[in-house]
Amino acid sequence: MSVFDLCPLEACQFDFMRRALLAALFIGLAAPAVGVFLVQRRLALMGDGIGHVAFAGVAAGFLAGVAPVATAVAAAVLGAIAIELLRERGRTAGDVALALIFYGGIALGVFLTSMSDATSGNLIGYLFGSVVTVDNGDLAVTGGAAAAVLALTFLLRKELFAVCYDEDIARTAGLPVRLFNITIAVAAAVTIAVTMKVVGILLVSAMLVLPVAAAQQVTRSFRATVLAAVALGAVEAVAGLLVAFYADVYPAATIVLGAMIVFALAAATARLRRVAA
Amino acid sequence: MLTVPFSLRAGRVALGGRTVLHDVDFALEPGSFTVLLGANGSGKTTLVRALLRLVPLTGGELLLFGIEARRFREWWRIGYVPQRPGAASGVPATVEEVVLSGRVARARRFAPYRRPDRAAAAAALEAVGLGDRAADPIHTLSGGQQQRALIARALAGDPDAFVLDEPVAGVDLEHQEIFADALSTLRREGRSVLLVAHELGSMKDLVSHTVVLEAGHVTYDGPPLDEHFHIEHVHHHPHLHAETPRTLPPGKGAV
Repeated sequence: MSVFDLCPLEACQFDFMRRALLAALFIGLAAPAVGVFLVQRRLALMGDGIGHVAFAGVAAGFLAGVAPVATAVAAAVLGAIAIELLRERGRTAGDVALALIFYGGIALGVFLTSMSDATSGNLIGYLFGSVVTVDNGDLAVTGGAAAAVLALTFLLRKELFAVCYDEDIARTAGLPVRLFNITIAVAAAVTIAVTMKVVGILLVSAMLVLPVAAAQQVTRSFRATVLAAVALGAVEAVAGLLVAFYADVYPAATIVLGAMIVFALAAATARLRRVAA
Repeated sequence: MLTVPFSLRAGRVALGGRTVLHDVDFALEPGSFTVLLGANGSGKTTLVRALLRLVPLTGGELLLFGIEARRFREWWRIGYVPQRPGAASGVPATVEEVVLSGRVARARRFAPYRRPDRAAAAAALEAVGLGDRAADPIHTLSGGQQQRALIARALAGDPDAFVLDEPVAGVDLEHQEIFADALSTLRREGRSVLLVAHELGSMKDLVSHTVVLEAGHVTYDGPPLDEHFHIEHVHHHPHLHAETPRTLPPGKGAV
C-alpha cells in the first residue's frame, strides 16, 4: 500500500481507513458503470429492489453462519434474474414486479434475522453501511467484483448500448437480448451486494444512479456520460468518506449527500447553459 | 440475392387473446419495392413485427432468406426502421452513437466499432441529410430528424432487405424527397424494400408491388394501385379499384 505512504492526510495513516478508502474507490468506479445501463433502460429503481433481496441474503448468512456477503451475492443475483424475467413478461408489470421483490426481500430478511442470533448492530451495519469494518477479505471480494463489472461493461459496451437503447432493433440484429438483460441485472446484483458494506442496503442504489444522473446533465454522448459518471462515482465515494472521517459523521450518508450536491450543481450548470444558449 | 427475404404462409398472430392476423400469406420478392397499405389497426405493424420475429406466430410458417425463421442467423441482412421515433432513453446519446448501433449485427462481439463501421454510419447520415448533426445529442433533434436518424441506423447496417414502418410520418416534404432518393438508390442496387405506409407521397414512383391489409386479412396483393390511392379514400371511393385483381369490399375500408 505504498500509495498511502505518499498521502499526507491523517486518514491515510490508519489501516481501517486505507481499506475503507480502497473499497469506496472500487465501488465508486464500478457502480456507475453498471448503473448507466439501468438508467438508460429507465430501471433506476431496480437497484433498490436488488438491495432489498440482498438484505434477505445477509440475514440468511447470519442464520446459516456463513459469510453474509456470499449469501447476499447469491440472493441478489437470483433476485435480479427474477426481476428481469418478471419484467420481460409484461411491459407494464415492471414496477409491480419490483414492488413484490422489495417487500418480499425485506420481510424475508427481517423474518430470517429474528430466527438467527444476529444483533441489531450487525443489521444496522448492513442497512446503513459500515465501511470502517471492511476487512481484507471484503476488500478482495469488492475489488474482484468491481474489476469484473468494469471489464464486462467495457467489453460489451456496444452490445449493451444497442440492447438498452432499442430492444427491438437489438433483436432484429440477432443479439441475445434476454441474455444481455440478465447480464446487466447480474452485474448490478453483484455490484450492489459488495457495495452494501460501504453505503448500506438503503442507500446502495444511490451509488449506481446519482453519478449517472449528475453526469447526464452536462454530457452530450453516451460515452462521455459513462466516463464522467465513473469518475464522479469514484471522487464522490472517496471524498465523502474523507469528509465523514474528519467531521466524524456517518460515511454512507455523507457520500450520498455529497452525490446529491454534485447532482444539484450539474443540474444547475445544465440550466444555466440552456438559458445562455 | 435471389432468395426471398420474407416469406410467410398462413401466418396467424394473436395478441392478448385477440386474433390480429388471420392466415396471412405474404412474400417480399427479392429486389422488389413492396408497400404495405392499410388503415390504423388493420394489422400492418403486427405483420411487420411478425416477419421480424418480434411477435410470435400462433400459426403458419415463416422463412427468412429461405431459412426457417427459428434457425435464421444472418441478421445483418435485415434493416428495420421502427414506427415510433426512437426509444426514449434516459441517457444522452449522439446521433452517431445511435446510427453506429445499426452496425452491431455486422461488428464482432467484444470488439469496438472499427473504421468501416464509422464510415458506413457517416455515409448513412449523409444519405438522410444529417451529416452535420452526427455529434449532436439525438434528443435535441426534431421528431422528423430523429426519424431520419433511425433510417440512417438501418442504412448503416448495409442490409439486403429493408423494413420501414411508416418511416416518413412526421418528416417534412423536402426531407421526404431526400429519403425517396435514398430509397431509389437502394432499389437500383437491387435491395428489397418493405414499406409500411399511410400515404406514399414522393415514394409512389418507386413502388413495384402493393399489399393491402384490412382487419388482419390481405385484401389486395398485386401491382401498384392507382397513384392517387390513399387508404383513407377507400371508404369514400369504393369503386376506385374496380379493375384491380382483388377488389376491396366496398365500405369496409379505412376509418
